[in-house]
Amino acid sequence: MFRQLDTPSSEITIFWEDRPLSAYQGELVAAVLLRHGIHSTHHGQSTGSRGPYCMMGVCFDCLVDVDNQKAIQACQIIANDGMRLNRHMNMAGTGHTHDA
Amino acid sequence: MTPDYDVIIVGAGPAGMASAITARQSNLSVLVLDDQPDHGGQVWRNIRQNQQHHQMRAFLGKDYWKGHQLTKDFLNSGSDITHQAVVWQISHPLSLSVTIAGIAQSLTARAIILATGAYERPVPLPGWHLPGVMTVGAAQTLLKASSSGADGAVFVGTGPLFYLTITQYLDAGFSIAGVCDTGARLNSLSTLAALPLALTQPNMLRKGLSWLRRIKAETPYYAHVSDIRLEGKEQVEAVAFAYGKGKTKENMHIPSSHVFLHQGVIPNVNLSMASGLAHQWHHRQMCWHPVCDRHGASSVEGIYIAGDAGGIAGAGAAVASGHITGAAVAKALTRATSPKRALWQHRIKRLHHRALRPFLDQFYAPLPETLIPRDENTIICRCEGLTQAEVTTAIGMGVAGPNQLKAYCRAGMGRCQGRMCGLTVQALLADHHKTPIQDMPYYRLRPPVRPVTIAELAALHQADHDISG
Repeated sequence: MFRQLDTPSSEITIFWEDRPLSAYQGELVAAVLLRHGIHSTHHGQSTGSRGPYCMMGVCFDCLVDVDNQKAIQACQIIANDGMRLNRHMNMAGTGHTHDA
Repeated sequence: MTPDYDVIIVGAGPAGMASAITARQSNLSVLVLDDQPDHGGQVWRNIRQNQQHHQMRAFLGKDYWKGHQLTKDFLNSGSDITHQAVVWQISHPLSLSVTIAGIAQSLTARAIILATGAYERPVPLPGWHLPGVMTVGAAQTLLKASSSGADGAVFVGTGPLFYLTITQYLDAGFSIAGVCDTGARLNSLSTLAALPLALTQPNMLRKGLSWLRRIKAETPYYAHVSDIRLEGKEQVEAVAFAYGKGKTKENMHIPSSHVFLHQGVIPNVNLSMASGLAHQWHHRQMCWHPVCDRHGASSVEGIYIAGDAGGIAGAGAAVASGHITGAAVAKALTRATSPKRALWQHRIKRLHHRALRPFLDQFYAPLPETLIPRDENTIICRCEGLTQAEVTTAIGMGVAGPNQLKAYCRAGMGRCQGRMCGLTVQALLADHHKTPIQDMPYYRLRPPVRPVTIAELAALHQADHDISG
């Protein structure tokens, strides 16, 4: 499991599937999830479980649903206090998610 | 209509920052659009914050802290800087579509500099799609952006970034379950031929050797690794591989829930390809480079390339290249010439940094099994979940090139737009048709190069209508 070497800033709370996770102001959402042992963030009918791979926005495998937005790259966004995250489910059968 | 800016630069890494600084010295108006939360690019990621925790994060190493001066000059340059700005289209004459905080807009410029940097070469090994398998660069990003790392990880790969990140892991005090070295082959004539030029950079060679010596002493280190499989059901549980040469070859199995892969880096060319710039295959680096002159001018008037986006040469060369391109743009737009002395210094620096590259490219060449995957269950297209068997079956049905392949099996049609499968698909097609790799085209890329919602497009259209109406 990923562990943090120092505590860089003030503590905030975000929610993964309603479970509270401690995070730090300014931390990447994907980094928070990995520190809490959440490796799989996204599930597709044709791809199975996936999680952060490149951490720089090119692989699109760390997709999560954030508040009301679907299929957001968790490595590209910063954690905000109270943010609600859910596993991104793609049941369309192809890699293209049909966003609302 | 007056353009919004003289120069718009895409990317705030070493090359983007350096070109902004130089362009501003000629009083050009400069906008820098960067998709990350802060400047520094991947190499100096999060340097502003890390500087404040300098002592606790000393493990990032001397080369990382070198970025401090340039980032300071960049912030004082008078450039407009926007982060988390996703550029998804460039149209002619020069305008650029970008989404900032969910809102799409169109901006015009007299010149555009693409400093989009590099990303890690995809590593299609059996099981590379499993959660818990990440790139070595991703592990390093987590160190820089979140000062976090994983104990008991296995590193698989080769190349300067590979050894550097392992060294940073050791300095930070993380335990390492295994280092599987797939590279360092001094067995070809061309590698040996590149050595004399590399010897002009003894300090850099010494640095590489000292990393390797330390890794061998302080980790379970395996040389000449091949036949790699990442095993697990829902997430990675172990790495299986062979190591050693010829008759001394042995099999090994290391349980771990974190595996980091690296086979070098390639230029990030999605935006330059989708913008219609000419590209050529680079034999030694085994990837596509945009065609540009020594100032960074591309095949399309007004569009320039700076840094690793134009070919891999590392951060030091990227800074020099950024200054050179910034000066070329200033000259083109204002007829002002930069001080000759400074320009020559940047040119010499760039030469100096490039001297080691031919040797590095060949000494740390990608492992053949990652270029043309032989295991039929290996995922090729991560987005669509397509295996090697599915892709080769489609190819066997008479597919001539990558674009036709999309229609047969959807390879390259997912969200990453071929970034993770493009080179593999090109290699598999070339292999099947017995065509030299440089004659097999890449996917034809079209904008938007990042997923854009219909709502964003509609808002952009409305905004354009408002302006023109």
